[in-house]
Amino acid sequence: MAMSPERRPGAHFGYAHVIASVAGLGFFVLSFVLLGVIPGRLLKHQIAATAPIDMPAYSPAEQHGAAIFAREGCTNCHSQQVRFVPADVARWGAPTEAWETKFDYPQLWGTRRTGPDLAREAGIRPDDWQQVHLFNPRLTVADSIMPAYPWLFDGAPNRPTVEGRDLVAYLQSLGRARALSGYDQQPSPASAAMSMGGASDGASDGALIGRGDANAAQRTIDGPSRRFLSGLAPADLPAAVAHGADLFAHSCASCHGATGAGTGPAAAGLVPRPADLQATRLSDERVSSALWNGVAGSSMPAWRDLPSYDLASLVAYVRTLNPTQPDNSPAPDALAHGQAVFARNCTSCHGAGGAGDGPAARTIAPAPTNFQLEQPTTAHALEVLANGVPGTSMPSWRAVLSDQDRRDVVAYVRWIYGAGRPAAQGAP
Amino acid sequence: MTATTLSAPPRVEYDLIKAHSLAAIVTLIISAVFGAIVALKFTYPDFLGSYPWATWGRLRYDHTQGILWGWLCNGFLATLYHLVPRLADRPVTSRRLGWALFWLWNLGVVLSGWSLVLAGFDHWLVAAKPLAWTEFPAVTNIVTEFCLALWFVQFILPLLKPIPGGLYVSAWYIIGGGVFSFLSFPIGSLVPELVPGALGAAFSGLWIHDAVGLLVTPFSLAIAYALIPAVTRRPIYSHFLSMIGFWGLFFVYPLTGTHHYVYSSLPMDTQKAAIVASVYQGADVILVVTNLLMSLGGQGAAVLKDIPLRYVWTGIIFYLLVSLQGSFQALMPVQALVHFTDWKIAHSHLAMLGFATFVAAGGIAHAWQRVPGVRYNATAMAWSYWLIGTGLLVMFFDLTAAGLVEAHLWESGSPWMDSVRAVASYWAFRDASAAPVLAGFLAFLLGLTTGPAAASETAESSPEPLSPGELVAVGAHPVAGE
Repeated sequence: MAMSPERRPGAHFGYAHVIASVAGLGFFVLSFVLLGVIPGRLLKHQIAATAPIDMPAYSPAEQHGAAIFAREGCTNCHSQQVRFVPADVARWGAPTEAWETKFDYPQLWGTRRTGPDLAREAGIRPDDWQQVHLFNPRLTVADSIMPAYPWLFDGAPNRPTVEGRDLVAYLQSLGRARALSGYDQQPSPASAAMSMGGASDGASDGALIGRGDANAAQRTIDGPSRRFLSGLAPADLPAAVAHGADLFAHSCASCHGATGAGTGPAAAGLVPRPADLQATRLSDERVSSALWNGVAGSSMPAWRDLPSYDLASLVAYVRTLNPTQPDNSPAPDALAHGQAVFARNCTSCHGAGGAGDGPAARTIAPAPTNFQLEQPTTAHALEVLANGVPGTSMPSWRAVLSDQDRRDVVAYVRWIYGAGRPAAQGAP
Repeated sequence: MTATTLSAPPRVEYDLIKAHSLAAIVTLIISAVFGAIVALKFTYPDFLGSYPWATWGRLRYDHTQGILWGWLCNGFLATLYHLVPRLADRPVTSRRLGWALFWLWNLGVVLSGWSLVLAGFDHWLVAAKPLAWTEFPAVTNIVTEFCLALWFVQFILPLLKPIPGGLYVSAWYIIGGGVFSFLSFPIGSLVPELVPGALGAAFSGLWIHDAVGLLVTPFSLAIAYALIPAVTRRPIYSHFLSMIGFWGLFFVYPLTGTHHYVYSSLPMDTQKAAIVASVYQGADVILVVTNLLMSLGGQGAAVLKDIPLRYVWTGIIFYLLVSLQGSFQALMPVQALVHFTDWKIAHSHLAMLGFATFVAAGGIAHAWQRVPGVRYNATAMAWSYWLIGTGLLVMFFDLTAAGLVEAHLWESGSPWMDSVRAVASYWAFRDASAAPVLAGFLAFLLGLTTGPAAASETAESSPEPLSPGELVAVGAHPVAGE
């Protein structure tokens, strides 16, 4: 019934030609015009209208990094498109807009996520974290299944080849244009896609969190955070400590070491080194802030995606790692001398009260230590004074301060620890 | 037999059927080994981890591209050498062209693509592309496009000339798929290199679907439509449905591509159009599959006895399942949940390992049996059918479940690593499913290379090849004046 007789032998333009020209050619042209060319023109206009005029193109190094990203198949596991669905937006921030990818030849949107989306990776983690992670992801993330890329390095994570450096440069450029442009501070933050789409549920009730807010280490001096332990009843503490130990082993031990001594597998490649949690007594507030904000200028990321109970458990567990120090009150004259030394040499960074809020502090990352919230062991503090802390602004004081000066200033900063002890109370 | 007016059957290039069949199965085994290593690396991420050429990303490129260009296209070429002379009532254009195409395809496309990806060059001409289903480098794409032009000369030109018995539906799919892919492949491979980001993605989405929908699907359906009447000696159920199914497919399939980028920054109207087309696609597939299965109505014995036909029948069932799943998951609420998860990996294996591989395997085995003097081992073939089927189903259900777990955890906002830890055991289980699949592929190779020589047994027990007149006889179309 379908076959009509006009396709008999000898016809010049048979059914085969109809198929070749209509099904093969015609429907091809139709689909590419309808789904390729027309949306492409719309996108072009939209990009021209919305892209920041000063949007920086990729540097040659970043462009090379993008080629390595493509070559190694990173897109097979890492998308670069935050969809306008609530789960994506909550995790990575505002949806990716067309203009954000206007320098990507070819596009790197990806079609699968085994690892997280990378569209907003710029500035989330420092270069040395990225290097250690690329050298072997399991050094920083114990349970990661990401491949290692040792051929981008000269044998050690802190010795990247040109390729390794360029790949990190590229990763640090992802989402940078959006962050720099102030785009998200514009009066109407809802994206074009968001306002057109059917999935505005959730986005409208304040679920829009920029990834910078959600994950990045904030450049703050003990920035605002909750004190996670305060909500925990004393009876629940042992369970929280056990839970915290488990979390620590999974998420923290790769840098801070199984014992918390800052000697995890990743430590060798990180500058500054991960904190030695056995060398310093940290107040709940200090640990809470580090977990919530990360530590800007170091590889410590923010852990805001953990539930509050997990964060409280980690604070509880970290406290068990800290040194227990008898509050051996120093001799008054040593204390007075220490305070004088501190006032002469340390306050521009650490602040008059030792709260890490001196006039220079705002320009420094990692921020100067707040001695009201941190109490180093004497040995640790003496070591720091003698050698400085590589990767931070803390220099060696060996040439400036005598042994006696250093001993006394250590006694003083240890004495500061605890609320209500700062210099405002007056010297002894 | 029935049609007395027929001249002698046209020449069939048996050597090329053999060469492409063996190339198909060898590239299938290599691609599957790539896939198995890739799967193992989910469980043992440092396995072969210090060699750049053995890194996960490069092997994954070679896995999917090897399956498409190595296994399926060689399989299609083998069956085209069997089908086209019968459908066109004349030989393919040239034997020498055939051998040139064989070597160019397997060395210039498959081997060059594989090795350039593994070598990891950075220059755009020889670098792997991060574009789904066209990961091979640009230089390989050029050879591929040239070869697709040769496909046209070799197989489609004979079909464009007047054919006494008229044009059977298998030929429609071969012509349509050949012309469409020749046009869409270069656009899908090239345009995203020339236009940036979102603009390029609009074209990538099209090719992602065209590779499966307008290259793999038409040639698979051509095999299915040809095998059923050839084995059962009965006409296709409805030529009207054949026609509706064909035109529906070629109209609707190309319009679904953007469903790979739902909730993206592509214009919302484009996304919605693609979703609507995806739903219509499901309806069209129901039509096509109905037609094919009704043609097999009452033929259970033939399906059980003839292993190639059983392969094809099973492939058709997978075709229905994977297409309905495709329509379902294109819907926005489903897409919001399962996109980017292992659910999609399960889906693509159901399409490429379920539908396409089963039909292509059936086509190869059917054509192979009709090559004079080759060996054919029915026991090994039966084993391969069950092994591949079992492995595929285990993998499909395992990865679908893994995808739902991932979707749930992503939705819940829990830390990313929770989703990785939660599905680790599913990935380990998937590793195990690779064993029966690989064993099945090896059994298929044994099926073609061991056992008794074909001439005596199979030539008697299986029907004669169909000529166009026979296609008329089994009901392909009424010939005017007879």
